[in-house]
Amino acid sequence: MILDTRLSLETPEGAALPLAPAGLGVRIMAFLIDMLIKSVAIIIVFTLLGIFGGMGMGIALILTFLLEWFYPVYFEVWHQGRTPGKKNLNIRVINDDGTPVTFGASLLRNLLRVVDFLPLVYLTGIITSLFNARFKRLGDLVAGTLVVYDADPTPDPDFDIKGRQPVPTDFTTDEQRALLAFAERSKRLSPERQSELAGILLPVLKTDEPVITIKQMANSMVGRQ
Amino acid sequence: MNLDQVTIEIRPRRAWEAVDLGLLMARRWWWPMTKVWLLLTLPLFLLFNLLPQDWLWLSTVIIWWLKPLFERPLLHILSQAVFGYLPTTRETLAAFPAQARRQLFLSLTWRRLSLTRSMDLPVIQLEGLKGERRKQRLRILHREDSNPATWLTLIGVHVESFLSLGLLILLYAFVPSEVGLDWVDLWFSEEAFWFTYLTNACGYFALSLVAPFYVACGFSLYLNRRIKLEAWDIDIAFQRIVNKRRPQPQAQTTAALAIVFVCFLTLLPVHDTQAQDSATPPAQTLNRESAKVAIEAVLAGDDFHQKDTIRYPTLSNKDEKERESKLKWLRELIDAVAAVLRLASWLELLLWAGVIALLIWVAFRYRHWLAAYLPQRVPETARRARPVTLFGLDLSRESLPDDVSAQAVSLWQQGEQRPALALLYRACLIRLLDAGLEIEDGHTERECLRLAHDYTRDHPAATEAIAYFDELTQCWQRLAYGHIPVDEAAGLTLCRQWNSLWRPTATAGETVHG
Repeated sequence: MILDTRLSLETPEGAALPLAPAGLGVRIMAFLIDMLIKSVAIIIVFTLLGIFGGMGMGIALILTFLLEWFYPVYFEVWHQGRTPGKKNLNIRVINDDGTPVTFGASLLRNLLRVVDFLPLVYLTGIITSLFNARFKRLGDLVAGTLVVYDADPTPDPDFDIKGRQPVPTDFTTDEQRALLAFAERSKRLSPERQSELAGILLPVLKTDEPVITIKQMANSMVGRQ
Repeated sequence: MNLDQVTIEIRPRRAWEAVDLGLLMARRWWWPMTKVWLLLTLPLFLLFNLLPQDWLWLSTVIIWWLKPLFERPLLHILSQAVFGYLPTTRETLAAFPAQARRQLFLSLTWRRLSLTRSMDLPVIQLEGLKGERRKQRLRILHREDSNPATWLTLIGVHVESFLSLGLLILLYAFVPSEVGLDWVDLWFSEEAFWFTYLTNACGYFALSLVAPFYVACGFSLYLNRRIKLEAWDIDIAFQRIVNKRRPQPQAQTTAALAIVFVCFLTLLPVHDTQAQDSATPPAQTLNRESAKVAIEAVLAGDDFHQKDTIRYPTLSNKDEKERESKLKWLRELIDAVAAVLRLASWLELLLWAGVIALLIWVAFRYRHWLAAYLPQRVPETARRARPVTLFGLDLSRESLPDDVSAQAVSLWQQGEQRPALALLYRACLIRLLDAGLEIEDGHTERECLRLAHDYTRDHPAATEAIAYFDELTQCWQRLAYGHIPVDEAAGLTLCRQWNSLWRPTATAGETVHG
C-alpha cells in the first residue's frame, strides 16, 4: 500500500474529490494563533470593562465564556469552516462527506475539546489523532468532521516560451498533466535538471530541444501563444 | 534509487502536509523504529539509573541530549523503507556504528540545539556532506518550507515534556485519596527517591514515543524538498511515458487507446457541424431591423418588468400631533424613569423581564399539565330537584289528604287495598322527602328503604317510624308487583298507625323523629 496524505472521496456523480486531511502540526499552529487572538481579546475586554467595576467584570466574564466556547463555532459555521488561525494556515473544517460543516457538528466538536484536552494540553487529542489515518481527534470522531487543507491555488501559466506545438495524440490525460506540471514547475528547477528531465522524453518526442518542445505543448494546452 | 518501488506517493506537497506524511510514515514503521530505539537506549537508560541518588535526574537528561545519535538508526530504517526495502533490526544495528561516528562531536555539541535538526540530519547521514558543502546544501534546502522544521522541534519538546507530566498526573489521579500522597512533597522531598525513578521512567517513555514521529516528520520535510527541487514526480511520470511506448507486449493497450482517441476525435467535428446546422437557418430569416424590434418588444414585456406593490400605513400629520400631545406625559415619565435608573439597573431589569417572560411562557406552554396539579374547586352538588313522581306515584304535598289514616282506612274497608297502601306509601315518601332524604328519580323501593335506615343512624328517634316504613314497603311491594293480597288485620293496622307515627306536627322534619 502506498502511503499518501491525500484522500479521495467519490461523489454520487462519480467524480473524485481529493481531500488532504490536516495533521497534528498544522492544527497545533492554527490553535496557537487562535489562542493568541482570544487571549488578546480577553485582555482588552477585561481592561476596558474593568473601569465599570463589579458590573463590568461580570459582563467581561460572560464575554470570556462566550468567546471561549463559541469563537470556533462561529468561525467554522459562518466563515467556511475557518477560524482566523486556520485561515492563516490554509486549513478548514468540513463534514466527513466533504460538505461544509454544520452547526451541530461544529458545536459538538468544539464542546468535546474539554475531553481532548485531558489530562492536560490536548494530550488525548494529540494521541487520538496519531491513531487514525485522517488525523481526527475525539471531537472530530464524534461529530463526524474532518480538518483538511484548502485546495492549491492554480499556478500562473507563464512558461517563458513563445509558440505552440500540438500535444501528441496518444498522450493520456495523466501524461498531458505531467507535461503541464513540468512547464509549470520549470521555474523552480535548475536548467540542468530541466534538460535532464526533458531528455527522458527524447525517444517519444523526436526533437532536438525537448525543454522548449514540452513548454510549447504546455502553451497549447493552457491556450497561450 | 529506484523510483518505481517507492512506498509513498511522490508528489510535491505543502510543507505542513509533508509533516503529515511523516506522521503516516512513523505510524507505518513505528514498531521497527521503536524496537531499534529501545534496543539502543533502554540498556543505557537502565545503566544511568544506577547513578547515585543526587545525580539520578541526569539519566533522562543524558538520553535526551544523546537523541541526535539515536535518531540516526531510525532515519536509516525510514530512508530504506520509503524506497521499498525495510531493513531488519540486525542490519540496522550493524550499520549503526558507522553512522554514529559521522560528525558526532558537532551533532552533540553546538548543533545539538539547532531547531532544524530533524530536516538537516539526512544531509549528513544520507548525502554524507560536511563543511562548506553541507552549509550550501542546507541553504538550498532551507530556502523554502523549512519553517515547519523549526516548529516541529518546538512542538516536539513541548509534547515530550507535557506527555511525561501528563503521565504523572494520570498516575496520580488513580491514587486513592486515602493514601494521602502529597503532590508537592513528592517533588521536593529527599526521601521519595522512588519518585525520581518514576519521573525518569515517564520522561523516557515520552522521549521514546515522540522520537520516531519527530525523525519521520523531519525526513518527510527533507524528502518533500528534494521532490520539489528535483521534480521526482515528473521524473517518474516521464519514465512511464517512455516505458509505455517501448515496442513491447504493452502495444495492445496502446492500440486500444489509439482507437479510443480516434473515436473521440471523429465524434467532435460531428457535434460541431450539428450545432452549426441548427443555428444557421433562423439567422437567415431575420434581418437586423426586425430582430431589433422583436428584441425590444420582448424586453418591454412583463417578463422583464416585475412590479411589486407594497402598501404600508403612514400616519397623517393631524393624527401625529394629537398622539404627541397624548403621549407627552408617557414620554416624560419614561424620561424620568430612565434618568433615575442607571445602566446596571436597566440590565438587571432586562434580565428580570427575560426571566418573567420565560416563566410566563413556560406556564402558558404547560398550562394543561399545571392545571392537573392545581387543587380543583369541586362544584357543590346543586340541590337536587325534588322528584315529582316515584314509581308512578304523585309526590306533591298537595295531593295528600289531611287525614291520611282515615282516608286509608276507608279505602281499605271499601276493599280498595291497592289504593290504600299506595296512599300510605306515597305519604311516607313525601314525609321522607320533607325530612331531607335524597331520594332521586331513579331510586327503587329498596334503595329508598336503605336511605331511610341510614337516616335512623343519625336520628335514633325515628327508628319506630322507619320500622313501620320497612313493613309498609314489604307489603306494598308484595301487593303492587306480586299481587299477593295483604293480611286484612295487618293492612288495617298499617293504615291506622300512619297518623300516630308519620303525621306532620309543627315542622316536617321533626315529625318523623316522632
